[in-house]
Amino acid sequence: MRRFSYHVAADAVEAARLGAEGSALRKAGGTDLLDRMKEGLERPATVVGMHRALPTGLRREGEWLWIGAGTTLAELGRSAELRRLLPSLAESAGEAATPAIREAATLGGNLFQRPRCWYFRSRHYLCRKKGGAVCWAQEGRHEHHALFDNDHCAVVHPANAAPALIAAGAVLHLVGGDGRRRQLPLAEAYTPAGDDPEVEHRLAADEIVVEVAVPAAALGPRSAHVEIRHKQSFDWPLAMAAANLNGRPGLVLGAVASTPRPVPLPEPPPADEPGLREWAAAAARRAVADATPLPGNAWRLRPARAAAERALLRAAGLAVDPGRKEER
Amino acid sequence: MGGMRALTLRINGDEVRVAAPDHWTLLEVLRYQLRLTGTKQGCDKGDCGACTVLLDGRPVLSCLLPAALAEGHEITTIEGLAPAHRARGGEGADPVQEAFDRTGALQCGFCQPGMILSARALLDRNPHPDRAEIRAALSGNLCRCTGYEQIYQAVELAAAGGEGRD
Amino acid sequence: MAARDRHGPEAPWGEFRVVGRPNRKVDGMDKATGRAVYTDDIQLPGMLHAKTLRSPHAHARILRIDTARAEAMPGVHAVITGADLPVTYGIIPWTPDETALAVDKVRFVGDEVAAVAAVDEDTAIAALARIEVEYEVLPARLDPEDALAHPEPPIHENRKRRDNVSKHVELEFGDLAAGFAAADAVVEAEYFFHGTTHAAIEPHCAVAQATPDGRLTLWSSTQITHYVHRALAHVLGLAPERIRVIQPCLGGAFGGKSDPFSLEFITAKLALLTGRPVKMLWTREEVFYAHRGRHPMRMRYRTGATRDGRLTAVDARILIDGGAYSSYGLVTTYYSGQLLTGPCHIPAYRFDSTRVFTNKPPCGPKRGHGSVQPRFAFECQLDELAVKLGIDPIELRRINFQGRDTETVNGQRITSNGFLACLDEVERASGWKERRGRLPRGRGLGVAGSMYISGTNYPIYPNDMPQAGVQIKLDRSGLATVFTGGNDIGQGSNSVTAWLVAEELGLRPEDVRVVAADTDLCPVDLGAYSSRVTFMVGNAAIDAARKLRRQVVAALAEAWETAVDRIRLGGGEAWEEGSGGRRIPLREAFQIAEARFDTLGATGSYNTPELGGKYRGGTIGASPAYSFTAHVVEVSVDEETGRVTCEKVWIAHDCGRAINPVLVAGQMEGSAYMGVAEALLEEHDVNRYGLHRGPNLLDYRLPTSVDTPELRSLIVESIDPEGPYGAKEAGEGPLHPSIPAIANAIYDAVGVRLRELPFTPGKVLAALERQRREEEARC
Repeated sequence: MRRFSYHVAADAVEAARLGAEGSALRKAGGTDLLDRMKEGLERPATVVGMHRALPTGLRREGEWLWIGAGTTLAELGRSAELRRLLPSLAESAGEAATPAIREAATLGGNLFQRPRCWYFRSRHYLCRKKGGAVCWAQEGRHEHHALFDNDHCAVVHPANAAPALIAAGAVLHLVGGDGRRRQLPLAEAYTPAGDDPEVEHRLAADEIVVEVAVPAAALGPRSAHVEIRHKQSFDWPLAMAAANLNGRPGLVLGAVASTPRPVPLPEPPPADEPGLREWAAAAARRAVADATPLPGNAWRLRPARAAAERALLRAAGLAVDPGRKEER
Repeated sequence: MGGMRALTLRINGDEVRVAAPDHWTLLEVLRYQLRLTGTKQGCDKGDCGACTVLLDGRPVLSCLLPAALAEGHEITTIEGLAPAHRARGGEGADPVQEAFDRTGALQCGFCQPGMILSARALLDRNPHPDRAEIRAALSGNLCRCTGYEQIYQAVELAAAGGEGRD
Repeated sequence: MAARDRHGPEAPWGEFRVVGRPNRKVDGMDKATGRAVYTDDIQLPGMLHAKTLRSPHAHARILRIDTARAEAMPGVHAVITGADLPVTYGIIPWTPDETALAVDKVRFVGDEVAAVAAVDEDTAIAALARIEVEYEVLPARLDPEDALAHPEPPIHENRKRRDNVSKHVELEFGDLAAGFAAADAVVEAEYFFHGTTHAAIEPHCAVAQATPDGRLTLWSSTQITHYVHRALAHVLGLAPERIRVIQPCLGGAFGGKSDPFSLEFITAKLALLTGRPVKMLWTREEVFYAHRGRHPMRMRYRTGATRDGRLTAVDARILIDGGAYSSYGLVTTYYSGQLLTGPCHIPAYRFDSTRVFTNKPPCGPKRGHGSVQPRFAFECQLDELAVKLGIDPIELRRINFQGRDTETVNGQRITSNGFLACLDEVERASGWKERRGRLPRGRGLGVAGSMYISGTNYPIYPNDMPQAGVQIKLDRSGLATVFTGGNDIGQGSNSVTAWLVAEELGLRPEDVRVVAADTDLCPVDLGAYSSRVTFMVGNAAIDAARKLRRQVVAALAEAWETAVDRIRLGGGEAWEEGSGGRRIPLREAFQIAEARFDTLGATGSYNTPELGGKYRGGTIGASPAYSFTAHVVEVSVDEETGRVTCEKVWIAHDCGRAINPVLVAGQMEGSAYMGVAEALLEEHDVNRYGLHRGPNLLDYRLPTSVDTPELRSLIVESIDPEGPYGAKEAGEGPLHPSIPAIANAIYDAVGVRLRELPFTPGKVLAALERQRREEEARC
């Protein structure tokens, strides 16, 4: 790793301001940034530590559940309150990466980590995401790359916690380096790789997320997160999906496009089980209907569909039979 | 750019003062400055778990932790387990260490300091875990030798108070 | 020499006191407490740190290297290139095609070009960026078909043949044509086994120190101290008696540390040049480039059998992807055919194997060297035959069992053979008879068997000296110290050696110390490969200990004026059998013996008997004893996601005698785990640019605790007549059947034959889709 100096920000405003200066970079848990620095992808002169600047933990206030951006994934996964109020988030956080990474990695860091594309992550390739002219994945190995929105840069957004929060209608609370504050729905925070592959979100350079707020209408037992991986621990997901049926039904796919991908649910869920199962299957089929897979990853449409269907079924409190034979 | 920083770390119950470059991780400070070489480096990128140490009793990866961030926390490395057990009036090494030795869990031994600390953290929080909880708690520590079976047996043996095989 | 003085598999006095018990390992507590010293834990005063500059091209000629800017950097002490270490080497004396740093060409992305020693790693890395290399890029051959079709320019230019063929072996035994003519059923298919790598959790590391009077010490994470010693002397041009090689505690190897590696020569050279200790620790990425992992093999198999299930002939054609260098490739090519001829009797057999150079990280020996791939193909063939003939797959293997005390079609001597018991055990434990065929769709059982060597009589370089030597010192304090060249790589060979010596001499296990793998102190052993250590070092240890036992017993009999056959040693004591017999601590017995015979010490050694077929290559794979294994695995297949979950593996392994059942179980479980990982998760490959597809432990999928099936070990003891107390190998054989057993279980679960490894979700979904189309076409 290149030499750098380390500065611990005293508060959120300072973290937001210092992180925008020169070649400085911010870190919360640091599990993603240090990995990129060790690969030589990032060479900041200064690293700004945010661990004292970010709120942690859950609180209920007004019509919202507030979650501090500095809360670790492990805390989210362990929280009995979150298991009750937003099980989809508890599940996604509690199963992300590995136990030791979850102890350090924060919610804010998870939402705004950089993609895991192996060409982007290797210093041997200059790709569009790093200012180059080529997306190596399109011609190369891309079995884990995007199924949608992949003609310019084929990364998928890796944030495990994002589908659950978007399906719940969560809103980011941001702080700027000059002390300004604003709100941004998480669903609008990510930018597609087709716009500018070097940027993944709409936050300003001197802006950081301090809290995530989930509306009360989306809280309750009827939400679920399903992540399908080749390997069960610590792997790229083949697909993930979060469903929330507490208020307005929401379904969001993850790891299939450069942004989390909300799926329209035009019909409300029927009350009866056979009807619900049919509804979930139809919604899952629709979720992947307009995909534009690359030659080597079309097979992932099937697991993506399964993730969507299983997330809806589990959110509705129905059992999932993973061994079921493909219907004719 | 890249200054030195004086650090005060609490490691295995001792307060230790060291000067380390800002960009050094806790792993580098432990291994190459304090010569606490029981903490291992297997990948240096957060993928293998060999560098796991306990920070206030929770397992973290020392290769991804800038040393400065460890200030103000209680750090436990593999070297600290047996003395702490003795200080509590115990005999031999920590029951987890004893159990790993008894069940054959120590083949090459390289992943085991991290594995043992993950197991210790689990038992401190959940003294009688079932197999599924043990598997989940150790799922960030790669072992290439054992196939994990004898590691589960070790954790179960330690949880049972050291009775059993042997 | 021990082979000529066979001591038999029985306990010294009828009953084992140490062998067969779950004793704690000699180094267990050191490892559990973090006290054990691995190579990177060594820090010497004034030590420099070295780093390697590696090729960004898969195939290129080096036109010019300029190191001046790197040498001028403050903190840089030396920079070396291929010109400083031009002598070629290779583990097999007939194929020396490696240099520590590239001399004229680079042959894969990651090939070593130059090295820097500096005050710290950061400075060394910065200096690498200041070395200028001018390359002429050559066409890269990334698969063996392409390398054969386009041999110009050849990957190695100084060989007689310019066709990129590294080794070709064709051998035929029995009457193949008659065999196929007699067959009522023939199955034929093509199989592909992908590349996988060892991924020991400890990265390779070496520390070298040179003294002004010209003595060199190298600490290295190697599993072949003796061959590294020889290679260092050869490459550096130093007399071997000036060189000392030490293997510290080793953090896993699995065959991945059984070649001499560039860092060993580089650190030695830099230490000689600078007069300071030099360390090089490879990054995880560099370990992937060093590789020497499982060879990818494309295999075509044809197998014939009569309608009652008897095999009549097997014909195999194998194309082996060797990567950029020879490594053990000569042996690999033979092993790809020679190790298939048990436990099933094959009356007629031919194999035609060709190893080809490609511009990829070099392949070598990985656990189950050369024989895991053909075993996958063959055991799948047996399953296809079983279906065709309507015979239960376990029964088919019983029908073809070769028996014990026999000879294989290719001339290998089989002594003990517990394969039938292995089949019985997995059949019983898995509930095979009750459950197979009655599981719901998506769930299945599969079986496979295998055999493996316990070392071979091929000593890598021809010589008439023993393969293994041991020296024991008995101390008047009651302690035995054993000196062995054997490499403990985590498998516990130092502990096994201690237990065998303790058994012979009546010592408590904790009263034996082992000094191992230090060329200055220990008699030669050839190293930890080919599953030879327990068998060979074990026999040598018993040989040495037995000499001392005779002295101690004789001295006591004389002192106590009784017959030698009335003296017993055990549990740290010596006594006289019968009522009123005397009993003393062993310490005193040793003192009596030392007074009688002078200072107590003995050497022991082992060499194989004459073995192998009388044809070229007939000794390669000729082992003094073969181990046998059978697995049943249970899988579930998720037909929506394509995921295969291996739920459980029943592993029955004939290890001769379990010196310690806990260690044997650990080897069986670790082997099965690694096989499951190769079948379902791991894949080592380069992309079309010659770049590794993901040289890290995230993209290269190692199973964690939640990815590993339940593993049930079932130890079978056939008591080998020549093994140490009857023991055979346990560390490699039990890997083989996992992979074909999973393929066979997937067929049982969902009815598709997967013949291309690994069985990823994408391949499973594609096979299910084909099945669906075929079924629809039939309707």
